[in-house]
Amino acid sequence: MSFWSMMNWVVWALCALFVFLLVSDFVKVEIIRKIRKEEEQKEQ
Amino acid sequence: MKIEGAMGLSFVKELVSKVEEPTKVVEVKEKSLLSKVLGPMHVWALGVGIVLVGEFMGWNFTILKGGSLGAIIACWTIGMLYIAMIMVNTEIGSVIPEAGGQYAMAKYLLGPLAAFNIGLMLVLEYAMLEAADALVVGQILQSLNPEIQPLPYIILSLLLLTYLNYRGAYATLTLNFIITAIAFITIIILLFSTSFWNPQVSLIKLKEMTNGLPYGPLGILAAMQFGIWFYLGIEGTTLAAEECKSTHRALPVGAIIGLATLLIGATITWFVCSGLVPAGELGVSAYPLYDAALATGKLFVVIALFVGTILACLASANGCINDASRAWFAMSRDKLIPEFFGATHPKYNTPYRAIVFLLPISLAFAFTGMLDQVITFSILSALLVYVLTGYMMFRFRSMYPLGTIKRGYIAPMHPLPAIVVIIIACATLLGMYFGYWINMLSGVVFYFLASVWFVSRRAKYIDKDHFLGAGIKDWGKPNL
Repeated sequence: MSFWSMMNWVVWALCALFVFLLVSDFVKVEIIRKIRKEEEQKEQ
Repeated sequence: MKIEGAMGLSFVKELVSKVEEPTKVVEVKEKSLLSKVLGPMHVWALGVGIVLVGEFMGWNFTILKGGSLGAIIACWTIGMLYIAMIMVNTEIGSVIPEAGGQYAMAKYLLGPLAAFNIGLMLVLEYAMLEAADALVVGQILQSLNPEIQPLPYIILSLLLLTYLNYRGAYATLTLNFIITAIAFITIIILLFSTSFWNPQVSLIKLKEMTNGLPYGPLGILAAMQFGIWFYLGIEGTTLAAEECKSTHRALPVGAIIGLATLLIGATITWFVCSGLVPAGELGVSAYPLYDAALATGKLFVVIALFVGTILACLASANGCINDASRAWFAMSRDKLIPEFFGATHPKYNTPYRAIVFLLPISLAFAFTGMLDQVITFSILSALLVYVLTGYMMFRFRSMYPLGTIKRGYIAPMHPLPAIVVIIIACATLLGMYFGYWINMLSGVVFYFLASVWFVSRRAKYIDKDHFLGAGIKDWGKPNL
């Protein structure tokens, strides 16, 4: 496998990493938001 | 369907009268707010960052359409459009310190339907430009070695920049400042590598390389749509209004210095490329500045311009993600589109849902691979926004005459700037019509259908008290 072919895979791996970072934070924020909303509704 | 009556200026009048009624207190609801962290440097980075890529590619089709002389005339004519546009934008934008740029202006000056259309035009203009930038990054990298697949690089560019935008505007635009400055410096390196100041050794051969005005005035008209590449997107500076620490200062300073940078950069680009590359080759080149660097025969200049081209694309895509998400966020916050996108990140204070939502949209545009079609729709959207912005300046001066509200900047010689914007934008649309009439017609049909959807499905969700409440509370009753 040449250097440039290997780089293609490295770049795909980086893509996966950034998708993971984005999705994990997004999901975390949405879950916290949902819990807070439910708590607010219970208080009301 | 009385769209004008329901969604146009009468809507603004109705709301103003409602606010003035003493018995009805308009409660301005708590808004999702963005962080106020940006200064003039960031505004400059946003405006110039989006645009600078146009000096590395695209502008040279002006030479194909209008010849060398037609290209520089189109460059300066379109420069006049943008000088006037920045005057108009900065005056209105410095008063409306709210995310959304021309969308927020339209909201207060033209009503919800026009605001919806302008917001949508801004989102598509920037989302498509972002896709085009990423496509070019992939193509340039592939030119290094045929084994390089452009697709992962395109996706990585968009993901990386989206992630940066997700984490905050300050870091995003500070990075944009650095990469835009480096890209601009590479143009200056190219200029000085030609020894242009010494006729004995200068590499610039304007007399031999240029071809004058082969198609006459009609060629200039046809060239204008590509002359826009030198400046397209600088008006996006107003989209950062809400995030500026001092909008009254940062917006005019950043935008005016940004435009001056672009005017200088555009003239240098034309001068260097026209003096180094024969007009016949330059008119069809994919990367004119890079070709000019190759013509110097100096390796360090070639490397500099290769890096400059990639950085310019990344800076442009970065600014586009910032602007498109702000426009989408602002529309959502006003309920013109589903409210879901109007939330901000609890830690980073960014419109994170809008940023993430627009990523697959841009990726989809990039996957089409139709660079010219994507860019044409982007330019059409921008030109329609310009025409409406010119009209908004008349509305603004009549609704809030000088002296009635505090302005961060007053555009001189009103109504001349607004007239210049409308005339040159319409002339450019005319020139574009000759070459891309099907695209233009499709674009107009798309916005018409979107308007029908908005009036029939979304208009009922607008909170009338909230929609204009903040502005009217700050500025008082306008003259209607």
